[in-house]
Amino acid sequence: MRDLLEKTLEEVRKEKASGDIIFQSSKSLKLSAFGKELTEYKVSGSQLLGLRLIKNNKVGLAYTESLDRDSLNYLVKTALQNAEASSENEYEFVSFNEGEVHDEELSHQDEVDVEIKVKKVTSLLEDFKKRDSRVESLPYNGYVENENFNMYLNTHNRFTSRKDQFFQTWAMPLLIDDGKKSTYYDYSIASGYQGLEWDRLMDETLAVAGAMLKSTHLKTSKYHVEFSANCLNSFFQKFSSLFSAKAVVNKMNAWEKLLEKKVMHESLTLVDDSFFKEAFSHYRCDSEGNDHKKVSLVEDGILKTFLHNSSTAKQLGHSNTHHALRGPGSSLGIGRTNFIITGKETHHFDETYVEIIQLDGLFSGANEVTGDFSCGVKGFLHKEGEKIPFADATLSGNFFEMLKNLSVRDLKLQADTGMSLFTPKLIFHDLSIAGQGA
Amino acid sequence: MQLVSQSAVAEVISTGLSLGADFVDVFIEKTHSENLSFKNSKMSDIQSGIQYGIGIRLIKGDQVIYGYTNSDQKEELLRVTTLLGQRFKEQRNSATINFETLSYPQVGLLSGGVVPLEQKISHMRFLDEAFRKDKLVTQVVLDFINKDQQVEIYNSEGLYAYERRPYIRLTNNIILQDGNLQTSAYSAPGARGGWDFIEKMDHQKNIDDLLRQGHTTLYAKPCPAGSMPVVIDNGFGGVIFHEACGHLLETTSVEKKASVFWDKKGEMIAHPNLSASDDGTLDSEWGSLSIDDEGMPTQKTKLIENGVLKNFLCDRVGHLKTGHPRTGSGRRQSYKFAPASRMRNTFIEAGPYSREELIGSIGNGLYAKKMGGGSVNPATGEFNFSVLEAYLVKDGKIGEAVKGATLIGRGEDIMTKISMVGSDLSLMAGICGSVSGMIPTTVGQPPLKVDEILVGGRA
Repeated sequence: MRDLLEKTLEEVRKEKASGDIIFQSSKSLKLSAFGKELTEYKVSGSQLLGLRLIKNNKVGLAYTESLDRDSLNYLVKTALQNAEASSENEYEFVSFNEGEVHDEELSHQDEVDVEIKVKKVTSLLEDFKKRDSRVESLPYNGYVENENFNMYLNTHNRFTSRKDQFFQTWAMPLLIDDGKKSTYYDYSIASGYQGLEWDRLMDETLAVAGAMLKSTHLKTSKYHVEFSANCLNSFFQKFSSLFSAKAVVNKMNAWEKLLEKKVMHESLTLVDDSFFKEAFSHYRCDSEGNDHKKVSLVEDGILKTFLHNSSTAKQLGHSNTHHALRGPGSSLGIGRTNFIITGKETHHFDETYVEIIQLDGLFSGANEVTGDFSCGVKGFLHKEGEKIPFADATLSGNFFEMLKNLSVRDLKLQADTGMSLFTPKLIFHDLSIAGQGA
Repeated sequence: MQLVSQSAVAEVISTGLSLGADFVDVFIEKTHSENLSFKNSKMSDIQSGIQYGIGIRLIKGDQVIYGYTNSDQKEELLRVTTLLGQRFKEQRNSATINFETLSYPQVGLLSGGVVPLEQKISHMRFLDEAFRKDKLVTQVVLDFINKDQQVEIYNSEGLYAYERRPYIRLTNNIILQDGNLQTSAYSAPGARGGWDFIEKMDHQKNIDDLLRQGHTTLYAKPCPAGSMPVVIDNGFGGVIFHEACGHLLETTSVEKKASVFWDKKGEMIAHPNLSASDDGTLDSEWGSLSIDDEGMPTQKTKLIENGVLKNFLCDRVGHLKTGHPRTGSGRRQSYKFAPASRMRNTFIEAGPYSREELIGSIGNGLYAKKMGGGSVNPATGEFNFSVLEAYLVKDGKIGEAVKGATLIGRGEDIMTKISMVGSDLSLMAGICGSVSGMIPTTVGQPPLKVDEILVGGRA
């Protein structure tokens, strides 16, 4: 395959252009069950080759899933045509780096027979029912294993490759009691089959879905709110443009003029660290073949830098933080790796607060430009030592204000299920919750 | 057109049957895509690509086994089929398959032929300049998406079907700023067809609507929270039906009894004033198809008539598991997904009332003029969706603009509270994500009144 990449770039050089090419392939197995029946058994293998070509300061992109001779000819020809039609972009260039990096995260050899996996998935409903007789069914229950291989080569002969794999299972039990229905979804991810936490998955989904059978309604009011790490990660994913220098260049970053200004509470520091030991994924290089760096984005509440690729760094006159993100079929962008939030001091907190464990509709209910958000929520009201489940409520606020108006309840770091966000326990003050309670 | 030789496909299907499958189908897809992105008043990115692959599905009883590959070599297709079929642990005599080409009525589409890149770029430049005439506009991001999907479907019943599906969509995203106030506005009209869709669009109306939305939300106050009556306007307002009811009528949920409506066929599930359909046959609509991804001609499916549940949206596996008739609703994002029952163009049908009558009837409440996206949990019917442009209604009159509203509820509850339906039906393009991936669907409705719904807001 590397030979194919080199030949394609040779064609690019013949056109007196520069460029880089990404090859991605993956293999996966997916199993789904409904009750004791295996309803889905899916095996797949796919490949994608994408070229970014730069000529006369103009960028063209083309990709193909077909690797026959005609498709490869199409790749260079089309990228060239697209470049000719694009506007000049003096800032985008092929990073001048060389040498080779081989990044492998295949820590576990999977030797578990597929029949064992099928049996596990098809017996999960029974396992759930043994733990809780109120379980009616598992509307969503499945397992996937995925192995990815990625190669990058540019016209300066920088070559990087990465292999990684993950194993994942998920479940959403439906509980019915006295005519009331409740569900809760969660998943487990691991680098090997044996690392999957089936017991935790069952215990946690049952604990929440069971509690929600007795959920009450909250009164419409302002509340202090603590989010689960999964919920907080959803916020950081939705508002990812705040840390992106590409969003600054595109005038779509609300923090554009806030470098060296306060954007978070003064006791918080936020670092992007692709090598963070406890994280699930570790990345040696970004999508331009540059070595990843650990970057302090926010220090003591002050915004110190944005995440950059080579193009945004050149355009804004900042240092490249090596956070380029590009798939074979996409343009040069920017992406975070692992976010680690740390606090300096805790604040004793014994007031009533709401713990939110599920956000519904944040993706469509939040505006990255204004910071306003509104979405459905479920969770627990913590009041006078009691933990009272609630549902059928909405949470509304402004993310930018929310990050400043908070206190740290516990410095110990919590991780989201995907192990990419690490955060202390934070209490966000005075967020609006609408409920049907009297 | 034949992307793969019929004799090779026949051998693949025959191999699947010989390994114990009751039914085998092969889905071959070649899609040319072109995405143009215009930002900062420049043509910033042009991407073109080819998606090409083959999906093979084996069904035994109601067990579905699926695999896909990018290779169209017979040896690779047989390898994947054998790998899948081995799960059945059975050997049968191989059968000879002869294919008959399916003829079906073609759903109309807007043509357009090959349009040079320069013409598309010139149109984007025109839109950029038009938006920027408004001094509060600080950024315009325009994305043009052209897709030409060709599919071939073969199955062990001897079916061969081919369809070419062109899609075109233009997304407009503008940012407005006045001092410290900032907001954004978005629209994304799309159609099944080509450049004629752009030629025939009322661009000035699109520009005016987006600027009006931006100016309104820029100065809007936070929305008050609480239960109240709401009038939801037409077009993308149809997302309420899509989320609160449409997904619950797909046999993908019904077959697992994971829909609150799974056993309600023939029963009243909505207000008697409400009727709704899912119609894959509408000319040029974004969610239309001549055949579904299982090779069945699409149809208009009456879902609800005067409040009574009449039909579910059903694919082949849904039919096997529930016995409900197939409706030409088997859809998938690409060859990477097995088909599943999905919506096409789904809408609440027009009623007798004017918009003014609806708003006048609610006294005090909310008028949701433009909706955003949403989601649903089919097992419990809990849904949510966001409101992009809204106004308070006081004494039956439209009052001040509010922002940051979201509506939540439960499907079976909200369907009984849609008590008045307006006459001005319109449809809008959207993208729906579910088990078989992201697919183009249309939502729609006339303006309608919901007697009471929980509104989330900051005030």
